[in-house]
Formats: sequence, structure tokens, C-alpha cells
Amino acid sequence: MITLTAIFGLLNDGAMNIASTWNAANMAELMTIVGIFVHAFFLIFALGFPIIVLTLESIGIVRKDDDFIKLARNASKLWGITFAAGAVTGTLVEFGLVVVWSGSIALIASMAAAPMIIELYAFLIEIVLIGTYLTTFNRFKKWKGTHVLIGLGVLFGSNLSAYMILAVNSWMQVPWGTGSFVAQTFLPWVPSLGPQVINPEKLKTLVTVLPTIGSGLLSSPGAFQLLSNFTSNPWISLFNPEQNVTYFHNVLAALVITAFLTSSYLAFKILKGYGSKEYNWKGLRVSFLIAAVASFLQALAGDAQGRILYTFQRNIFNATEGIPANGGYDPIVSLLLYGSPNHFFPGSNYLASLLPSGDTLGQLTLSATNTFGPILHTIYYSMIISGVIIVILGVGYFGLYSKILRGIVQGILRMKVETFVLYGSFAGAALGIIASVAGWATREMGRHPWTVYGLITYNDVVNSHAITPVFTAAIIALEIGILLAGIWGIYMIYFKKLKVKHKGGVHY
Amino acid sequence: MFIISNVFWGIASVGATFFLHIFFVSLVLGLSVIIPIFEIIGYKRKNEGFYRFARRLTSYMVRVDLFAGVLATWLTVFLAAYWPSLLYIATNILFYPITLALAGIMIALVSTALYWYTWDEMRKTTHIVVGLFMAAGALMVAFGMNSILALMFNPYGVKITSAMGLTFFGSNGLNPLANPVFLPLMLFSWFISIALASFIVLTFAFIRSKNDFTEEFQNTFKISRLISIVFSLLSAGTLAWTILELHNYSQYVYLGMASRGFVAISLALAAIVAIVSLASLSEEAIRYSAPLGAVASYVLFMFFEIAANTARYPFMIVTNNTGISSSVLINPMFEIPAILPVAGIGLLIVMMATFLGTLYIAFFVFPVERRGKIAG
Repeated sequence: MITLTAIFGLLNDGAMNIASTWNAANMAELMTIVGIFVHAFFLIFALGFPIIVLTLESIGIVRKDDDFIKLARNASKLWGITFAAGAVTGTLVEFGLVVVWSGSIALIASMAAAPMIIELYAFLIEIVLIGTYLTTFNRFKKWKGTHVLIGLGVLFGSNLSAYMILAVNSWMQVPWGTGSFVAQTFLPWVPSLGPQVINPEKLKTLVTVLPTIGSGLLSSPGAFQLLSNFTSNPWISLFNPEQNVTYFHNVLAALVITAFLTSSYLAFKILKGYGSKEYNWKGLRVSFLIAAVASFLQALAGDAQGRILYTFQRNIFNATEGIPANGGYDPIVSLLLYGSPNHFFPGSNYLASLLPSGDTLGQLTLSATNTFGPILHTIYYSMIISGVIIVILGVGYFGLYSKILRGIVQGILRMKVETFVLYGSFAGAALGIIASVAGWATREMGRHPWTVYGLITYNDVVNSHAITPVFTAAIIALEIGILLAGIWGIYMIYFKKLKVKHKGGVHY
Repeated sequence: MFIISNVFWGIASVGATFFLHIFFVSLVLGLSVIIPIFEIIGYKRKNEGFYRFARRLTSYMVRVDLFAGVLATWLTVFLAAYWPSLLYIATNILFYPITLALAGIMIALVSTALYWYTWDEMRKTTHIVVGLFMAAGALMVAFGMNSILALMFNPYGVKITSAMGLTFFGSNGLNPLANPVFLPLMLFSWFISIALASFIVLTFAFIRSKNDFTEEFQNTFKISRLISIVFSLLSAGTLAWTILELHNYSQYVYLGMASRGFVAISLALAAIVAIVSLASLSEEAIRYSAPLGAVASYVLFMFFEIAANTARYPFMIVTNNTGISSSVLINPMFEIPAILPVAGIGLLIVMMATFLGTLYIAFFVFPVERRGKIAG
């Protein structure tokens, strides 16, 4: 009883401490972080799973092998439930955006309008066609390819949706179309961000009014009128050079994780002796192959993402690479960027020297980067190391087909390639998740204190109305509840009755 | 003048989405409440027939639910894109009701997915609990979202201040749920949705009870009839209450409706729904009253929503005998390219056709009871 009282006392003190030191933006950020990661957990399936399911189904049709069709059908159940959960959590994130970060409505009403509206259409295509796909599985007896075509429609919808949402996120990283406004106003190290299609006077009004009266600007139609004729090109956010790279990087990450998770499930069944070994191996070979190919492509996408970071967000680049404040050398990165290991990278002191006097937001940016620097460096390199191991796993997989690689795997690890692939599936899934979480955390944490890099801060857009610690805790509890409900659903469908269903070697 | 273009396309986009959304979402709300009732009765009476019936209904509901859900997202984004100020004012003044609705969406969709996928996979009592979460979530959504409509009819809890020659809309600290228009409006949307779904279920149960004279369908038929009668009468009562509160607190809307005869038509439709539900007590009349009740309750709900919301025109938010015009609250930042809403409407038509085709396949070609036999 005394212990419980002490625990409650500590919790209460902790909550009071948080309440006294954290502002609305801090608490809103906490619930947003949890919400986005819960959403991402389900989202990766919506993005990565169609490729796995459709590949399995296509192989089944071409080879006239029912095992592949069954594998695809069983996988499509998970596709369905994770899609539903992804839609729910996506709704949560979207509502969270307009309710908790209500100032971001101005973003949706301006540079994010085109991608957000197109995303709605993509979502509709996705949700209608996934219903058709699941309902008509095994119904096309003569024209089996028709079912795959419906699935491709879902794949198109999910990718278009991802592309558009990432266009918005990319614009928050690199506000394309603002020309040299960011460099001239707050962050002098930022290069020109495309053509100046956003009216600089209106942009200046926005970035000066928002910190003064906050997102309450939107509550006054008259004040909002000050932003009329904001842009001459509402499509500009779709032509952001950051966007294509981010899109491929994210899709490949989703594919690596879902393919390895599929492999893990099948490896689990093989190791536990559930179902036919041949059936499970068929699926495992395909899913691991997809993971391997995606991991090779991901290395290229990751390199391109790093180059974009170096070009547009030098302060974050310095933090992730651990460049000292006075600058320093990083032979590998230098070799990748300049073809020579001797390039000197200026540090944050150099960036600070570029700031004009009185640029408090520029100073705040460097201060935030320095504060988060060690964490950013650690999580960034946990992503890199995880990625490298995943690529090695991918290479090892080809030992199933290459005598040389088989010899290398067996020589180094003292295990059969088959065993390597079975256990490598689990390692790949775990590392894929670590890399993905670390990568996204780097991207979002690195942007502090900006909501839109170089233009709008967190404090400018947060809805300070009633975001209390209790409210924050309630929302986080709900978010975690959804995650647990989703995981429970997956467990019920795929694991609970596995043993019973596999009595007698029934395929499943 | 791009403001005019934004107003036109904003009304077209939000209007089309809103009416299509409530068309589907009312069915989902009603079924979310009715289905667990059948399961609970099945559990209490140890009658497998009720379970099978509830399962069939769930298979229909999940498909409609997904479509209804996506339209809710459309509404939010269209509102943010075309009427950012309106959405901002609503999210600030109605912070808690909207958050409650958001929580309801999450609870409803997750529990619906679990309810459907875990049928026969867990203990019946646990499954019933999941079903109750599904019902509670659906009711919470309507609870929160109706506060927005109530605010637009009667801006209770809104503080209007002036500074630097500008007008700002904020909260005056009053609980927006104490808005006198809110409670009857919300209850009406709950009850009419349940009445509508119960009439559809009643039609379904009646047809099946005639096709096979099993006790299962006889029993479900009686329960459906009882639900339809109770909620039809409640709908009529809450509609009258809503109109009374509009008369008291939203004169502009009330007069706009009354002058066109819409108040009388709404009340007459409510009376028809109630009479039709009572007529189903007759074995002779039920053949016609069940489908007629479904159509009449749909017409009533849609008619009232259209009549009340168009009566606000040209105002988005009504304040006594005047209001805030839609052109004042429209996005002033730039002209949203017309190709976006035009493409959306085109896509909506194509996807509606695909969706209805899928429903046809799911309901009639391969209904859930035949699926297991074919798929193996």
C-alpha cells in the first residue's frame, strides 16, 4: 500500500512537473508523435503489403499453383484489417492536424490544398477497390488476371495517397516555391527554394502575424483576408525535389518491413512445424526476395535522401553526421558527396556566423539542433547500421541460389543458408522497424522548432485551447489502445488457432 | 473574382459530400446499435439464429462503413481547403465535442473491424463487449458532429470581439453542448438512423421469414419490428422538439423552412414513418410497411437535413435574423483550381458505381452464408 501511494505520488509529481514546464505545443507534439507512429505501424502494411499479395497471386496464376493463391488470400486478410486500422489512425492524424494543430488549417488552405484534395481521391480509390478486391477473391474463374488488375488499382490508390501526403510533409521540410525568402528572413544557409511563386509580402505577413496573434488569425475572416493572392501556383508543392526521394524512401521502407514480417510469420510456422513446409517455403522465398531487392534499392534511396538533407537542411545534416561545432572531416560522407575523402564540413559555429543580428529564430534553430544533436546522431546511425545489416541479409538470401554466396554464408556463420534465411527473417523485420522508426524520428525531430522549416514554428500553429496533461494522457491512451486492438486482431487471426488449424497438415 | 469560384466549388464539394456521407453514415450508425442487440438476445436465449442474423448484418455494414468513413475525410479536407476560418472556429469552440467524435470514430472503426474479423474466434461475451464498443463509438461520432450543425444554427458559446478594426470569433467559455438546439438535433439523428436501419433489417428479416419458416427468422423479425416502432416514435418526438428549438433560438432558419412549407412536410414525413412502423404490427400490412418505412425514414432524414441547411443560405453561421455569409468565411488565399472539385465529382460517380457493384456481389452473388461453401 505504501509502495502504491509512493508510486501515485511520484506520478502526480511528475504530471505536475510536466504541466508546469511543458507548454501546449510540447504536449500536442507528444500525442502527435504517438499517433503518427501508431498510424505508421498500420500504414506500412497498406503501402507494402499490396506488392507482396499481388506478387504471390500473380505467381500463382502464371504457374497455376494454388499454394501461391492461398498464400495471397491469407495475406490479403491482414491487408484488409491493417488497412481498416490504417484508415482509422489516418483519420486520427488528420483530425489531430486540424484540431490540435489548428493553425495548420492555413497550410491545408494554401500550399497543401492540391495534394490533400488529390489524396482524398486516392483514398477513395483505395477504399472502394480494396473492398472489391477482397470480395471477389477466387471469383474470376476464367479471367483471373482481372482480380490482379483490381489489386493494382488498390496499389495505385495507396501509392498516390502516400505520394500526396508525403508531398505535404516534404513541403514542411523544404517549402518549395518560396525562392530565397527563408534564406533572407531566418536561415541564411538555406539555398533558393525554387521559383518565387508565393507572394513574399503575404508570406512575410503570415510569418509575422502568426507568432503575434497565433493561429487565432484564422478566427478572423478579415485578418485572414490579408493573405489574399498568396500564391500564383497552387501546384508548386507537387514539384518539390525533396518529394520524389522521400516517396521512394518511404515506400521501400514499408516494403522491406512488410516483406520481412511476412517472412517472419512463415519462418515461425516452419520452425514450429505448422502446416506444410513446402507451402511455407514457397511464400518465404518470395517474400524474402522482395525484401532483399527492396533493401538494395533502399540503399540508393537513402543516399539520395542524405544528399537532399545536405543541400537544403545543413544544420540537420551536421547534427545527424555528428559534425563538430567548429567543423570537421567525415571521409565516407565526403567521398559520397564530393568523390574525395578530404572535404572539410563547416559546423554549427559557421552557420551561426551567417545569422544576421537579431535573428532570434535562426539562433533558436541552431540551439534546437545542438540540443537534439547527440540524439539525432545516435538514432540516425542506428538507422544506417540497421540498413547495412539488412542489405547483408539480402545478399545472404541469394545463397539459396548461388554456390559462392552459400559457401560464404556457411563459412562465416557456420549455418546452412536455409537456417540463415529463417532466422534472418526475424532479424530483418526487427531491424527494418528500428531503421524506419529511427529514420522518421530523425526527420521530424531534426526540424525543431519549425512546423514548416524556416517559416512557421510549432508554437505558431498549436491550438492552446485545453491541451492539458490529462487530455494528452487520454488521447495517448486511446492511441495505444488502438495499436493494441490492432495487434490483438492480428494475433487472433494469424496465431491463436494456428496450432488447431494445422492439425493434419492442413495448408493455411 | 476567385472568391466566387471558391464559394461555388466549395458549396458543390462540401454539399455533395455531406449529403452522400449522411446517407451512408446513418445506416452504419443504426446497424452498429442493432447488431449487438441481436447478438445479446442470441446469447441470453442461447439461440444461434440470432447470431447468424447478426453476422449477416455485420458483413453488410462493414462495407458501407468504409465508404461512409472515407467521405468523412473528404468533408474535413474540403472544409479546411474552402472554409478554413469556419473549420478553425469550430475546432476551437467545439474542441471537446469534436475530440469526442474523433475518439468515437477510432473506437467505432477499430471495434467494427475486430467485431467482424473475430466472429467465432473469441468467447461470445467478449465479442458482445466488442460490439458494445462499436455501438458506443458510432453514437459518440454523431454526438460530437451534431454540435457543429447546432453551432451553425445557433452560435451558442461564441464570443465575437473586435480589435484593430477586425472581428475575431472565439469561445465565451459556455459549454457548447448546452446549446438548446444541440440535444434534440443529436437525438433526432440517433433515433432516425436506428429507425431507418431497423426498417431495412425488418424488410430483410420479413423476406427471409417468408422464404424459410424457421424460428430464427420469425424471432429476428419480431425484434426488428419492435425496434422500428420504438425508434420511429422517438424520431417523430425529437424532430418536433428540434423544430421547436429552431423556432426559439434560430428564427432565421425556422422562418426559412416554415415559409417554404418545409416544417409541415418534415412533420408529416415523421408522422408517416411512425404510422408505417405501427402498421407493421399487422401481418397483412408488413409486406408493404417494412420497405415503405425504410424509404420514408430515409426521405425524412435527408429532407430535414437539406431543408434545415439550405434555410441558412446565404449564411454559414446564423445569428438571430442575420449571420456570417459563406463568402466572408471562404478561403481568401488563392483560387483552388476548378479541375480539383470537377475531377472529384467525376471520380465519386465512378467509385460509387464500383462500390454498388461490389455490394451487389457481396449481398446477392456471394452472400456470407455461401462464401464458406465455395471458398473452402
